[in-house]
Amino acid sequence: MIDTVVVALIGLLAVAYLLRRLYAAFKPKPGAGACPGCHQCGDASASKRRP
Amino acid sequence: MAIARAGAAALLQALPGFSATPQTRLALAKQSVEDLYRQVDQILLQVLTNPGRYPHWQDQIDRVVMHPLLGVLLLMAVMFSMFQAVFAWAAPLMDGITATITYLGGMVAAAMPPSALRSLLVDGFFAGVGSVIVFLPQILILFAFILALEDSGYLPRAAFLLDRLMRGLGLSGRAFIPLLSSFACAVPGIMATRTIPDPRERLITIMVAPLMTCSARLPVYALMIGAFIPRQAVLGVFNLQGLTLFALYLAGIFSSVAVAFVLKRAGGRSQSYPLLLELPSYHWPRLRGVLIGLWQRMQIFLRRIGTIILALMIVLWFLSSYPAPPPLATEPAIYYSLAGMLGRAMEPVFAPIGFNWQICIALVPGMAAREVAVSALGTVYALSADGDALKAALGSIIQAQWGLPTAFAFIAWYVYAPQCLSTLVTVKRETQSWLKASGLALYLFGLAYLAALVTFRIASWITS
Repeated sequence: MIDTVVVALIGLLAVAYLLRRLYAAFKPKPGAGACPGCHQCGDASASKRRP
Repeated sequence: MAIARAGAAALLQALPGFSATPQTRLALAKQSVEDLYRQVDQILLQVLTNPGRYPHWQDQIDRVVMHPLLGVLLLMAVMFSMFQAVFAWAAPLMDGITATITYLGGMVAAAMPPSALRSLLVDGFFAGVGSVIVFLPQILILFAFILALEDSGYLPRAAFLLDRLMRGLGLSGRAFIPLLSSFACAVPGIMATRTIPDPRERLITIMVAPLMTCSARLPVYALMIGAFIPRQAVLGVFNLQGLTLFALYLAGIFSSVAVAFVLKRAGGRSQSYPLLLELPSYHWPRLRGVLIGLWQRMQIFLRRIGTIILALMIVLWFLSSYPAPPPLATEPAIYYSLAGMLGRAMEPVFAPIGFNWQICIALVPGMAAREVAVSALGTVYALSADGDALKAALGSIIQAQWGLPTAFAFIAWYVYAPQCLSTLVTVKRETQSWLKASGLALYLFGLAYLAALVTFRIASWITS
């Protein structure tokens, strides 16, 4: 019985985590399209906005 | 100084009298760009000591490294050695990790009575998550090479060489850096396309970036190569497994160039922008820098395993274990589960390319990230097998159950399939269009299906 409860809790936690990740991925981000400061383009000002 | 910890404060202290007051900023804004550059030149003249001429020996090296033919041959040789090392050096470490996971899984299986929790730990955690963690040594060896090449000053020269080649095929010079970044992960590669001013050029680069072989494909390739390509020497020196991995990386590069070429020709001419690269002087790679880079790669890989892959494996275990099989079931329990039903529903679509229902199940969680397919296969096959003990390593299981045509079709599928949700979301965010993101997914799935179909048919014909 305890086994089943533990397994169910683990399952719920996993689902909650995945839903949170999914929401975070699709949620519109403030400043979307702006420079994330990855330095790939060599933009020196990007150093102020570390990813 | 300014990049060290608390370096900014030290830098401000070292500049007496410096104060960026609003008045100073206003004065700067009023100056013309030419004036500012003139001032910068004057300051640089005062503070910089001239390092002297570029050393002669570096010129000599560049004469070979940057040569249009010799340079490309050298680059191929470097890449070739890198993939040889990935398989040759990682094998003992991978065997050690596999033995440890099998031992720990066996211990857990022996210590616990048969229950749902034991099945979750043994079939979900050890068989699923454990089958991905095995590839950590290969990923670290690959990145050790890349970091050392970057630190030595060779990588920018390789970029310059390939830029020349790619420009000849119609890709913008500026597309090279995003495509190079996509070898690590397509997400920063796609974001780096912001440096491409021409919108159509940028879109083409976004469309081909997922074709470059990202590090998430490595576990999939390594699993299939380890299981189906024998560990044998070619010409007495080369490792056949390393050769196959090299060929897969080349397949990704050539496919992206071919797709870019077609897209470019389809849309007429567009303006070409040159690539500007600073070529640093050669030096020995700094061990500390390489080790820090490897430590970061390891953290990224382990964090993915501990979060998204673990969570997906738990959900997959539930879907593969419930509902329970009927009383007189003749097939393994997973066959009657929700995941089994889903896999069997998908099977008719994927049967022409040789995929069975177990592979179809693994493709679904594998949409989140490519390497998840490996752990999903681990869980699916662990639940499909009979007996209580921890099952054999995943490679041995698929080697016994899949034919060679299916294995090659699976590899061909992964060269093209956009099995990465983060990439699709990033494409949507960068293009501000669901239509373009869906278009990317559709064309890549189409290409993956076609490549797998052709591979499966040819391999079936050869082996029959």
